[in-house]
Amino acid sequence: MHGRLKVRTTAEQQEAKRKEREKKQKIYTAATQRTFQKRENKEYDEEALKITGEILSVNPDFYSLWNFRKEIFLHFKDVKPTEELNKLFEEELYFLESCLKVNPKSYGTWHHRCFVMTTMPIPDWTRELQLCNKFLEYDERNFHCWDYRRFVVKTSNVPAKDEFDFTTAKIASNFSNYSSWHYRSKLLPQLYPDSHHSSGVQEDILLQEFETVQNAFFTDPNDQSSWFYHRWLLGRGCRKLDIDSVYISRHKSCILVTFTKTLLISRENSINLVINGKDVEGEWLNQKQQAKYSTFWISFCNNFWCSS
Amino acid sequence: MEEQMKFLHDKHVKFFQRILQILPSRYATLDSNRMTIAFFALSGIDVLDSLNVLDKDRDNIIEWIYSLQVLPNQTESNLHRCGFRGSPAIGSFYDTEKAQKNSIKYDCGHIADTYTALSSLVILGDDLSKLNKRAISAGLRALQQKDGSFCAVPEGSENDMRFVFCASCICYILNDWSGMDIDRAVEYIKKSVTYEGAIGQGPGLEAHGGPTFCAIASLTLMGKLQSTFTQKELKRLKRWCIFRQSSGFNGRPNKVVDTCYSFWVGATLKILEIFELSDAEFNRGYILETQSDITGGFAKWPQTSPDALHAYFGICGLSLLGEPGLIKLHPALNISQRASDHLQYIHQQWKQNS
Repeated sequence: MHGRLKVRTTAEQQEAKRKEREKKQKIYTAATQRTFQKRENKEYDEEALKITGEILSVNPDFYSLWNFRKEIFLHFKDVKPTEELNKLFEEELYFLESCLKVNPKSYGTWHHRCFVMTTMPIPDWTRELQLCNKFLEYDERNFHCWDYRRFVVKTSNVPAKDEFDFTTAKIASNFSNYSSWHYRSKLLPQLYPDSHHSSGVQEDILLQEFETVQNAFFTDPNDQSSWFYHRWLLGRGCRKLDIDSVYISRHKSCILVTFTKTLLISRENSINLVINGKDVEGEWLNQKQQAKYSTFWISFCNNFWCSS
Repeated sequence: MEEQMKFLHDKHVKFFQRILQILPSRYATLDSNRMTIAFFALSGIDVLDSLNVLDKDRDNIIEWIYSLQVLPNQTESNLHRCGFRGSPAIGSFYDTEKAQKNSIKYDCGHIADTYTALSSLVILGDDLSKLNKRAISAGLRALQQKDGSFCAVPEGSENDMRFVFCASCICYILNDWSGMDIDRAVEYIKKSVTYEGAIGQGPGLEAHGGPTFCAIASLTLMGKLQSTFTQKELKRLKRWCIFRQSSGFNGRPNKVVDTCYSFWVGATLKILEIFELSDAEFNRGYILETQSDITGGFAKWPQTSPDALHAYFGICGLSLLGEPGLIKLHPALNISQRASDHLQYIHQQWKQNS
C-alpha cells in the first residue's frame, strides 16, 4: 500500500468507486463470516480453500486464515492418498506464487510456503530454488526471498559451493548487491574452513575475496556494500583471547591485567586467581572502575598477601 | 520551494483524526490489525501536542481498546491466548463480559496489537486498571520460542526481531518481565548481529534498519545495552547507522531513502547518543519533501500518497530533530516523553499500592 502515485479523480469516478467498494465490502464480510463458521464446524474441504484463498489474495496479512489453511492441509494429510495429496499441495504452491507476485513482501505468505514445503509428501526443492532466482531477478534486495532461499538451501542440503557461485554471478551483474555480499560472509566459513587460521577461513580464499572486493570498489568507490565487506574481511584477523601483560603491586595490593581482546569479567564470566596455590577472590573492574567490556582489568584484593 | 518546506502542523493533526474515523480502501489488508493503525494516529496526535482534539472521543477510544482485550475464560484454559486482538474481525463481542462468556475458539491476542493497545492506553492517559496483567504476561510467555525470539500469535506464525521489540515494550509497560526469558532474548539479538555490526530479523539474516532499531530499543528497555555489546561492537553499529543517511535515511546500503527510516535509524542514533552526528538539515529536508500539502500526512517517497505508518514516522523523525510544535519522543519506547512520564507515574502508583 506504500508508494502509490497520486491520481486525481473526478466526482463521477468517485461515485462509481464508492459503489464498487460497497459491493466488495459485502462480499468480503460474507466470506470472512463463512470462513470462521467452517473452521468452527471443522469443514476442512475445498470450498474452505477457495474462500480463504479469495480473501488472502487481497489480504495476505490475515494470519488466522493461513492457520486455517494449515489445518485443512494437515487434515488432508490424514485422509487423502499420496498422489492426490501431493497434487493439492502443488496447487497450493501455485496459489502462493500468485499471491507473491502481487505482494512479494508478505511475511505470512512466505511463512506458509515453508509450511507447505516441509509438509507435502514429494517436495520439489529444485523448483523452489528456481523460484527464488526468479523473484531475485525482479528485486534483488527482497530480503524475504533471500531468507526463504536460505531455508530452501538448509532444508534440501544445497551445496554451499553452489550458493557461493550464485552470489558470485549476482555480484558480477551488479557490484552493489549488498545482499549477496552479506550471504558470502555467511558461506565462506562453511565452505573454506580453517581451524588454524584465526578467522576460521583459509588464507588464500580470503586473499581472493580481497581481490574481488577491490575490483568492486575500484569500479564504484561510492558504493558502501563493498566497503562494508572489505572492512569485514580485514577484521578476520582477530586475535585469540590471551593475557597480554600482568602487573602486580604489593604496595597497593592490586593486580592489573591487560588482554588481547575486550572482555567482560563478571560473576558469570569469572577469572580464577591463584596465588601460592590458594584461590584469591576479588572484584574486577575496568580502567573506568566499571563492570563493562574492556581489555584492561584491575582487582583490589585485600587478602592477597595473607597467605604468603 | 519555500512553501514546500513549511511544516503543516494542523493538517497532520487532521490527517490522523481522519484515520481514526475512516480509511481508504487500500488499507483493507490491515483490517485484522486495526489497533496498530489506531496507535499511529493516537501517538501521532500526541507527538503533535494536540491530544485536546480527542477530548470528546477519548473515553470511547479507551473503551474500544479495552474491548479488544482477550480475557481468560472461567477455567482459564485460554490463558496462553490472552493479550489484545487487532480488531473484532473474527466476530468477537464488543462487550468484554459477553465476549468472555461467548468465547470464539480461535480468538487470541496478537503481539503487535497487544503492544500498540498498551501504548495507546498510556498515551490516552488511562490508568491501566482494567488490564489483566497476569493474563497478558502468560500470553506473552507462550509466544517466546526456544531461540529467544517471539511469534505473533499462539497458533504459530513467523518469529523475528519485530516481535522481540513488541514483547519488550509489553514487559516494560507492565513493569513485569515475567513474560519473557530475558537471557534467551538477549542471546537471540546477539546471534542476529551481522558482519557489518548491525542487526537482522534473525540469525544469519541481512542487517536492516528496522530490526536494528527493534533490537537496540529492546536492549535499552531491558537495561542490557551496555552489558551486551563491547565498545568495539557498539562503534561498528554506530558506523553502520550513521552511514544510512544520504538525504533522509535508508534501511540498507544501496537502497533508496524512505521517510520511516528517519525514525528507525534516527531513534537508534538517538539511543546510541550520536544523533547529532547526522545532518539535520538534509534529514528534515527529505521528510518535508514527502509531506502531503493537500491532505496532510507523509509518504514513503516524494510525490506518492501518504499513509498512516509513514505519516507517524515522519512526525517522529521531525520530533527527533526538535521541530517546533512537536513534543519530544522516548526513542526506545516509541511514544512521547510526556506519555512515558505518565507511565512512570502509573508504575509509582502500582508500587505504592502493592
